[in-house]
This record gives sequence, structure tokens and C-alpha cells, in this order.
Amino acid sequence: MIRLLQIELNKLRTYRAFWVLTILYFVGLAGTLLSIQGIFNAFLDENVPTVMQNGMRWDFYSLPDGWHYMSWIASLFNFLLPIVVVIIVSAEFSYKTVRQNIITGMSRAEWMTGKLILMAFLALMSTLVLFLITLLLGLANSEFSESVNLFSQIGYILGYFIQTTGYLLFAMLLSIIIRNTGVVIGIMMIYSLFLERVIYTFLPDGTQNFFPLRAFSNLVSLPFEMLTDGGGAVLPLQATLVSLAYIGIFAGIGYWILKRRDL
Amino acid sequence: MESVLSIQNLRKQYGRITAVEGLNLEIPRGTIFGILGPNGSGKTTTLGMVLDVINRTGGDYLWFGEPGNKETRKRIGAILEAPLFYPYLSGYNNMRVVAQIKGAQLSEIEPLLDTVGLLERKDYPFKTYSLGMKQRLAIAAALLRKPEVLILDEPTNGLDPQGIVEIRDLVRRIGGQGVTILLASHLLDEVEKVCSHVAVLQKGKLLYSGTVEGMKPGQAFLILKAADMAGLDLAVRSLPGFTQATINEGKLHVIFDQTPDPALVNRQLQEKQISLSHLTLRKSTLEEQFLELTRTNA
Repeated sequence: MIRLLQIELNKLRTYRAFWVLTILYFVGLAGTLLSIQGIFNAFLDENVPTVMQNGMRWDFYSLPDGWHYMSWIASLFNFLLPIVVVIIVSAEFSYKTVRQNIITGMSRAEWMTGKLILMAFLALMSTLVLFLITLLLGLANSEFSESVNLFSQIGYILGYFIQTTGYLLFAMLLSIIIRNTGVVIGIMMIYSLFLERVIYTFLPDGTQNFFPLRAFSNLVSLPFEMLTDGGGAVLPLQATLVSLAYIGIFAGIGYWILKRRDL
Repeated sequence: MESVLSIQNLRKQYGRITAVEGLNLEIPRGTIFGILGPNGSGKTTTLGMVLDVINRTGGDYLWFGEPGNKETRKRIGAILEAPLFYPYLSGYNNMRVVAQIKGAQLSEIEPLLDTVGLLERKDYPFKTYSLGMKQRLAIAAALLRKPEVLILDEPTNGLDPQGIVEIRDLVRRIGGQGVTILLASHLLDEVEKVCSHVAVLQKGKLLYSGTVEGMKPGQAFLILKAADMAGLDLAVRSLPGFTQATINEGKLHVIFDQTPDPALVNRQLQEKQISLSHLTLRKSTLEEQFLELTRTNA
């Protein structure tokens, strides 16, 4: 495990495209999480008369709701890391380094495992940033009382981790199939922005929750009840099971394709 | 002799095209083994299959007596077609990735870079290397963890004469240390210069396998020309020891059952009223043998 992760990280050591995008992502994520309350308050003050602000003043950092709010805000950034993954995985095919990796003494299973560990590692780093910022700001901004469990909604952090891993695996599978950065990013955008929604509009209500990207997004649902359409409340358990199943399926299909392909 | 690689009835089919057809081959330990064949004869496909990057359609292969797997591959150093590295990583960092996959010591890297003359450039990105440097880095990477077998596929392709000489010297030096070398090439000269054994492939079929010496019967022949070619042809057929005569570029190539004596043949033909305008004694070269082998099976 450690050895495979070391190999993957060593491959990226001086990969500028990877570092630029990854650092951009983490700076953007951390910056937004750290300043969201200020941004939101300023937005309210500018657009809503003070007398009407009551009830709209969300407290983003206050725990336990903070776990949910912050996870949702972090999930808005979940389009950047998949692009990083597409670049990394497609490069292995266009430079044919995957072929040399196998010749040198990796099995296809090891190669796939290395990539999966890297995905989990990136998702874990992202989750860690979310967790630490939410925890620190939460402890500073929460009212402590016997009756409130500040950690009651910490499950959203786990949901965010599964969601991020899911998106990354989706990106990885497309990259293994298509092997071309530009085409993969195009297809990923079309599918995630329109195609999946278009498909499930034609299907009976409820089935949409069984589509991969919808299931991932259900893991960290929109937290502001007054903004939701009211319908389609999803049990986190169902979203979790569907998401984990898709993660398994994506990894399985990726390995199956790799196994059958001449490299 | 013990085989490091044993190939049995190996086949590869791409749709309706057969790239490799029932190949049987034994690579004895300690040899410098050439795989010779024109482009598209199945050399790279065969090497790709025994290295598990190309899925075989049928047949088997054994490395060191066991079915090939990632552990047997770690005992092999191989370069297939072009050197494949991460272009944005330095030579050293690329070597580190290979060493980690192979389970080689990181301390092996610098001496090997020194051997191939890349130590000074070790911190430069791979993409800034010249073709010769890329090829040498690939050889250094293949030598990590002291491989028992070294596989080189067209190692001098695209190199300048200086680079070709360097690579050949390197191959001979490594071969001298007891490493079995498998060298695929479409250049006869290359195989003849460095290999002890050779397998000749044509359209995915094995035409010959054995020692390079065995491929050269050492048979000498005469090249003759006279004003009356028909009379010459008739006359040589009655000479003692005659085996075969063929017209080639307006001259008659005559093979005898042993090395002929040009002076004697000249005298015998004079007695038959044939005056020669051309007479040469030629040893059959590997190139001619190779062309002969591939032509008759084309």
C-alpha cells in the first residue's frame, strides 16, 4: 500500500500541471471555507434590508450544523480534482508509461491499485482540509451546552469523502476508457451538467437517485431547507450504499478494461 | 543448456491478421540472442507478449521455468520500441520510479547513470534529452537490480553512428558479464556483429533458429560472366562438384559442394572453349542468407 502510494507520488514529483491545479484547488477550497461567513454576511448586508435579514442569517460555522454547511460548500469545488485525475491518468496512456510500468514489474492489478490509492489519498487530503477548518472554526463559533452534541452531524464529513472519491473514480474510469485529456473533460462536463439529468427526467421519480453523479451529490445534500424544492429527500444510507456500489463498479470496470487491453 | 525463456506455440491474432503464428523458441542462458526480421515480422509483438503488455491469443511461455508474472519481470530489464519515461521528471526521478517498481536499491541509480554517461544530466527533465541520451537512460533503467535477461528492441534505431557504436559496445560489455541478452533488430549487420544465436522471423513465422555460425554455411561460390552465357551455363553443369547455378544481375552464381578453386575452374572452362570476362570467388554473407531465407518464404 505505502509502496504503491510512494510510486504514484514519485511519478508526480515535478509534474507542473498537477501541482498548479492541485495547489489552486486547495487554496481555493481552504480560502472559501475560511471566508464564507464573511462573504455571506457582506452579501446579505448589500442586498437585503436589515429588518428582513432575520432568519436568513445562517451561521455556517456553528456546530453541529456546520459539518453539513461546510461539507456542502466544499463539494461545490468537486469539479477541479477530477480534472487533475484526468490529466494524470490520460498522461500514463499517452506517454505509454503504463506499458513500461508493467514491463518493469507491476501487475495490472497493482497498477490499478496504485491509482485507486492515489484517488483515495487526494480525497482524504481534501476531506482533511474540510475537517480541520470546520472543526477549528466550529469550536470557536459554537455555543457549548449539555444538550447539544456538537458532533452529531459529523457524518457529512464521511459523506464528503465518499463523494469526492466517487467523482475521482468516475474521472479515472473515463480516462482509462478514452485516454485523451480533452475528450474526457468534454464528456465529463456534458454528462455531469446535462446528460444524466436529461436521462432521468424521462424515468419514474425516485430512479434518479440510482444514477452515479446524483447519488454522489445526495451524500451531501443541499443544507438550506428553504431553498430546496421539498421533494426527493434522500436517506443518507441509500445514497451511501448506491455510491459505494458505483465506486466498486467503476474500479472493477477500469480493471477489466486494463486487463483485456494491449498496452 | 538451460533456457531462460521458453516459448511454445505462441500466437497473436489482430482480427483477421495473424501477427505471430505458432512460435516455438528456446533462449539459452548466457547467450546474446538476436531476433531478426523485417519491420512488421512480429518481433515486437512477440516480446510484448512475453512481457505481458500484449495479450496472447494462444500458446505459452515460461520465464526461468515458470509462467511469466510480475516477479519474473523484475528479473528482466527490457526496452520495447522507444524509451518510455515521464517527460517532466528528471533522469534521476525516472530511475527512482523504476527502482521502486523493481525493488532495486536507490544507491544503484547513480553508478548506473555514470555507466551510461548521464550522471551530469541526471537532474534535467527527460524531455530535454537527445534521442541517444533517452536510449542510454532506458538502458540504465533496464540494468537496475542486475537483470538476468536484458531485452533490447531495435536499440540503435534513429541513433547517429557514434551512438550506434556506443550502444553496441555497451551491449557487448553487458553480455560479457553473463547476462542473457535478447536483441530484436531488422538490421542484419547488428545481429551479426553482437549476437551468438539468432532466430529469423518473417510474417510471424519462425524461419530459422540456431547459432549465427550455423546460419552461415560458410559456403563459397563463384560469380562468372562470359560472352556466351548459355554456353557457360551448360559448361559449368558438367564440372566436378557442381551443385547449383543461378543467373543474378547478368552474372552466373555457381555453387559447388566445396569451396572451388577459381584457377582450376578457369582452366576447365577454357578447355570447353569458354572465355570468362568475369570471375570472382565470394563467401556467402549473412545478409544473403537472410534475404534468401525471407525470399523463399515470402
